Amino acid sequence: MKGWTGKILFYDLSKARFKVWEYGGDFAEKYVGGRGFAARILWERAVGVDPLSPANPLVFAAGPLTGLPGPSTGKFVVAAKSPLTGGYGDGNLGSLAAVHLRWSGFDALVVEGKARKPSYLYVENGKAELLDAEDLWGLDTFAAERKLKERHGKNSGILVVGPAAERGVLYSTIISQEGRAGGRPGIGTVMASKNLKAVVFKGTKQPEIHDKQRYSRLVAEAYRDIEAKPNYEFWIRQGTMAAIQWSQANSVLPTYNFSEGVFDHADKISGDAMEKIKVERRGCPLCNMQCGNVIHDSDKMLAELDYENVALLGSNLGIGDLRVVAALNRIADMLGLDTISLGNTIGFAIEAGEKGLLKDVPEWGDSKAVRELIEDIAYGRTELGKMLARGVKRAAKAVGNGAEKIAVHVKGLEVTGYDCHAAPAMALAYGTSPIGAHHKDAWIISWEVQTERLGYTREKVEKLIWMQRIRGGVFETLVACRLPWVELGFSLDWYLKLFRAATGFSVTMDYLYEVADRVYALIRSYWVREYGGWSRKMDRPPAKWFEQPLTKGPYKGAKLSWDGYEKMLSWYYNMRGWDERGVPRISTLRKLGLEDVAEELSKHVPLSE
Amino acid sequence: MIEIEFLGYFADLAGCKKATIKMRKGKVKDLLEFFPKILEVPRENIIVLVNGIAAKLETSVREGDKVAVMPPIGGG
Ligand code: SF4
Repeated sequence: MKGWTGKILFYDLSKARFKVWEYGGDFAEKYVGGRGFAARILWERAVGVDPLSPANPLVFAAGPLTGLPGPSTGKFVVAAKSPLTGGYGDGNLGSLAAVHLRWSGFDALVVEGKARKPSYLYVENGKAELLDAEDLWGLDTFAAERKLKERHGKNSGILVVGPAAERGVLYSTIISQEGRAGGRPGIGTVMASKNLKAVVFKGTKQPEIHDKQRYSRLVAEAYRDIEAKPNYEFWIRQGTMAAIQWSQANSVLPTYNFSEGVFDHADKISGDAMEKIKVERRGCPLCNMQCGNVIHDSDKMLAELDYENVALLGSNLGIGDLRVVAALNRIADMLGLDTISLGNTIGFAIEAGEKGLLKDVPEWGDSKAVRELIEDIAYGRTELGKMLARGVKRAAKAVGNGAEKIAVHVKGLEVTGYDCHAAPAMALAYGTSPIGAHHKDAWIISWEVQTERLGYTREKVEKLIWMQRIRGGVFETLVACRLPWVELGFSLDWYLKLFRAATGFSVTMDYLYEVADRVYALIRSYWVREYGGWSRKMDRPPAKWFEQPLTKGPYKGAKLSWDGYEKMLSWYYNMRGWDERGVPRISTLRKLGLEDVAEELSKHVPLSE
Repeated sequence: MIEIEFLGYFADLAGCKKATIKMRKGKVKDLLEFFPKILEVPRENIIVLVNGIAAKLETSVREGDKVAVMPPIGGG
């Protein structure tokens, strides 16, 4: 096998022992890598487990392009059964760790069991060892990584969790390189529950490539092609921050806990405002369009900004000061909290306070109180902090009195940076995302605003599935960053050519799409099995978008229709070959080569033919 | 007068972020004739809003309208 290393490292923390699984070409062909590997491993090994128990496997999975020189390929997938949603959870993380995992001879690392005391795992060239982390436990993610760099060299790939994960905040992420974060559905929480503070990778051997000459030629051309794109220069200046103005213009900027789509102070937190104070750029390895915008925050520290954290910790909380938002974002990264779920959950608390459902909560725009609350959440200092640490779904349940109606999540995962009062297809994208509300599988809103925007059409559903195949399938399995394609219009053909040159597989795009469909069906089967059944209610977006119309901006009065949504959801199921409950049909699973999954799943729920 | 605003890298292509154009009525694409580089962009990559509402290049505009033109930029 070329392109893949063909090896997966399994580390049992309870026994401090490892095994190497040399998987065959069949596994690679069927699941490609990244999310595909993670989904299959969790299907087999995370059966009915409590997500925070030692039995929950924590997966770090790369793909055949990860870590090879190439456009934005320094990324991998971190996955586990999610403590936040109870279903399949994953995240995409750009880090030197992804590169060094592959260069140390593995395509994936699966960590199981629980260490007896705080530890970290050190993986180097085919071997792994468990080391003491007593001195790292309790440190913030920046400090912990700096210490590990001193010990293992600044070029090693390091993943860490922060104090939030150690205290069980359910939306803790895994952090790397002081700003790269991944694993929104509490994958960092799972890591800390295993007493695992960090993983350090160091490798020196690049995986073998099928046609090295051709591969190198393609890569050089690909990098050049990206740099020649008409919007390259603008992207380098603003990165994802340009989306603030865009979302404001299109009335989709999350504002006041997703009550509005426009924010009065949007110009103060926009890409243009950021550009004036930007001091440097950071990003993932192997990327020639690095998008981390760095400014001096209100504490005069260097801090990174991107669209999602500015939308959720800025407009969604009524905070219109970029330097303050940058500080909040930096603090969240240091504590190891997912900035999106954090901004969403705090937005919920503020609105609940406004409605008299909660006491002693911050007010809109009160960044000082928000900052205190962030620390209360991470350290479990107050009752409010403890409640919000469990995510918006559980918090709403605890508050009661109809608070569920203002909780903005799907399947327990908080919605990310797009308000959907006037965007039905984007609402469906959130409803059907395989990890709960996330835009990473289908950022359809950009296309939706160019069509019959408020319509509930079949065409939108077709487009959504196409996007899920590419974003949630191709990019998550290969694994590479989707942004060259999404943002600069870098052609998908490049990835196919790179994949063929790396692996020697002479396949077409249809093959990668089929893998994507297989992975989607498998992930859906996982949710159904773990929940012991399914209902279409699980795929519904937050009630707020249907019941509480926008009160401001050009789309004032807009809200979604349940009938329209349900119609689109049925089309969606139908096109995916799932039944009216949202459960994959036996025939679909068979067609995708998942006969064993059909057999196993039918023991838990009756399946439709 | 009709106000036109360019977002994202379209401001670079247009050479300005905002402009006012003397025109009583016409179509969005008539306004864009003053900004030929924008018209070189494939149509499916041009997003148009008229007074904040989704529109098209063929949408009619008249005095007092505010037009915004932008690429399908992402946020990730
Ligand atoms: S575009 Fe941004 S997110 Fe993607 S690899 Fe480059 S730095 Fe990372």
